[in-house]
Amino acid sequence: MSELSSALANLEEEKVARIIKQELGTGKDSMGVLTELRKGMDEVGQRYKKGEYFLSELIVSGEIFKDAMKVLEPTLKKDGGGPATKVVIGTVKGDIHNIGKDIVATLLKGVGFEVYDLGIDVPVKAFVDKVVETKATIVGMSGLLTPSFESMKETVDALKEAGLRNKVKVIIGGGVVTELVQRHTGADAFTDDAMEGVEIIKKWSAKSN
Amino acid sequence: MLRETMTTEERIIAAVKLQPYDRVPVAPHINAEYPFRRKGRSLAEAYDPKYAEDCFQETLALSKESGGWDAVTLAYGAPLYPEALAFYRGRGQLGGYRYPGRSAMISRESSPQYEEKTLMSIEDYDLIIKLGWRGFLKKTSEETGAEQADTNARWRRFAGDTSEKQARASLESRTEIATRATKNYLGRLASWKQNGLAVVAGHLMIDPQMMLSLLRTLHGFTMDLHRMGDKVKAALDAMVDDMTEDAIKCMNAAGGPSASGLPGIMMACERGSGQYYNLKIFEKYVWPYIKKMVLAWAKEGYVTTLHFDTDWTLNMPYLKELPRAMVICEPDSTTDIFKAHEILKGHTCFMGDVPPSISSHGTVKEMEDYCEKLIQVVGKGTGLILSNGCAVPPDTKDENFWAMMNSVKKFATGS
Repeated sequence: MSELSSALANLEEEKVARIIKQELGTGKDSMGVLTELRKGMDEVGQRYKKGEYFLSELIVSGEIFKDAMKVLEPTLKKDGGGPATKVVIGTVKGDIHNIGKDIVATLLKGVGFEVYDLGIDVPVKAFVDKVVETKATIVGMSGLLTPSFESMKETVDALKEAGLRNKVKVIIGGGVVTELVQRHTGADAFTDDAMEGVEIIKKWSAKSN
Repeated sequence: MLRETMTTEERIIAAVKLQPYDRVPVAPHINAEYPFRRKGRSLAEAYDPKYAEDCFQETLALSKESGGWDAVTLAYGAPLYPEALAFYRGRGQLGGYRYPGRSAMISRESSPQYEEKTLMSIEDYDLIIKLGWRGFLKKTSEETGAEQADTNARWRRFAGDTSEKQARASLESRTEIATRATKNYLGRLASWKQNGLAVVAGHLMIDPQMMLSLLRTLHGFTMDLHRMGDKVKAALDAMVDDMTEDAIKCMNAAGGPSASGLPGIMMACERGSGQYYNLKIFEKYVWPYIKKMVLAWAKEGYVTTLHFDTDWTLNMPYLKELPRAMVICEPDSTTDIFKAHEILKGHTCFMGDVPPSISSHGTVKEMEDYCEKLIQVVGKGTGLILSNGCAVPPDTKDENFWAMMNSVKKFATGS
C-alpha cells in the first residue's frame, strides 16, 4: 500500500492532505491519486469486516475522502477515467433520516461508484426518473420508520411498471429493515449495516461488468 | 389455564427485582400514534397538546380492548407526549426533532423524525466547560429572551422550526411549563394506577454523549472526537452532574422514589453503542457518564430504564458494573437480546424487544413465535417485561398487537 493509501486507512487527516498536495504539486495525475485513495478506502472496509474498525472509522475515513475529493475533483474530468457503475440512492418518501444513506453514498463514491444521491423524502417517481436518466443499474433505498417500507414497496412496484425492474438491482437499508421487509417490498437485498450494503453492491457490480 | 396470583404492579416489580413472578408481564412501549391511527385520527393530533386527554383515553381503551396490560413504559412521555413535548421544547434541548403538524418537513401522518443538522458550534464546547450544562442552557435561554435575540445565532439554533415569537413565549414560561408538566404527570400516574396499570418510568432523558451527538450531528461529533477528543471529554465532564441532578430534582418534585424504585427514570441511549464506536471510545466518552448517572439515581432509590436504540450487544458486559435489580435493559430489537440475556441473566431485567417490522408487516404466527421464544428463554422464572423494540409502530396490525399482548398468557412461564 502506498503512503497515501496507508494514511487514509489509518485516518491520518492532515497527512492525507499533505501528501495529496505534494503529489499534485509534483505533477502526479489526479486519477492516480484517486486510485490510491480508493485503495485506502478498501483497506478501511477490510478493517471494518475484521471488526477492527467501527461505524465511526467509516465516518472519519469518509470525511477525509470527501475533503480529498474537493481538491481532486476540479482536475479529474480532464484526466478522464473509465466508466463506473451507477447507483441511485435516497431516503424514501415520508422519511427524512439521512445518516445511513449518507454514509453508504460516501463509501460507494470512495470505492469508485458513480452515485446519484437524491437526498431525503424522495418521491417514488424521482427514483424512477433518475434511473431512466442515468441508466443506473443499482437502486439503494433507505428508511428508518416502518411506514417507509410502503414507500420502498411502491418504488419497487413503480420500477416494475416502468419496465426497469429486470435492469436494476434494488437494495434497501435502515435500522429496522429485516428479511421480512425485503420480502414485502420485493427488493433484491437488505442490510442494516452500511459496509455490508457496499459489499453487496460491489458484488452486483462485479457480476454485471 | 393460567392462574394469576399477582397484581400488575407486583408482577412488574418482581420482574425488575428479579424475583419470581406468576407470568411474564407485558408493557407495550406505546404512545398515542397507534391508538390514534387505528381510529382514523392523524399523527399530528397525537402530538397536539389540546388532544392530551384523548391520547390517554384512546390508549387506555386500547389496553382494555386488547386484553389488558400490566404497565405502560412511560407515565407521560407516552402516551401523554404533548405534555412532555411542551416541557422539552421549553427547555430548548432537542431542537432537531420535527413533529407532525408542526413542521413542513414531515407529513401530518408521520411519526416525529430527527433532522440531522448542526445545532451547536465547536466554540460552544468551551461555553459548556466554563458554565456547566445547566449554566449553558441558562445562558442560551437568557440570550434568546434578551434584546439581542433577533441577531443571536444560538436563538435560532435552539428555536428549531418554532417561530421566533412562539419560542420566546415558550422560554419565558419555562417554570410554568415545568410546573404544569409535573402536575399533569402526577394526574396521569394516578389515572394509570386507578385503571390497574403500573408505570415503569416517570422521567425521560438522553445520555450526555447522545446529547452532544444530536446537537453537533453524528458526523460532526465523530469528527470532534477524532480532532479534539480532550475538549469533548471536558464538556461531557461538565455536563454529567447537572444532567444527573436535574433528573433527580424532576422526580423528587413529583413525589420522590417509592419503595420499589418505580416509576423510575428512563434514559434513551443510541449513539454510543458498539454499532458506532469501538470500546476504547465507549469506555472514555460514553460509559463513564451512563454509569455515573445510573449509580446516582440508584443511590436516590430510582430504577433506571436504559432504552437502547441500535446494537449494544458488544456493550452488554458493562451493565454488570451497575447495581443488580436496579436497572431495566430495554433493547430495540437490533441488540441481540438473547446474547445479552446470557451475559446479564440474574443481574438485570430486560424489557422488549418485539421487532417493529413484525408488528407492522409480520403475521400472527411470526409474532407468536418471537414472543414465545422471548418468554421461554429471557423470561423464564423472572427478569422480563414483554414490550416492543423501540416503540409500537403507528402502522401496527391489530391482530399482531393482540397476539403480542395475549402471548404472556398463551406461553406463560412463571415460577
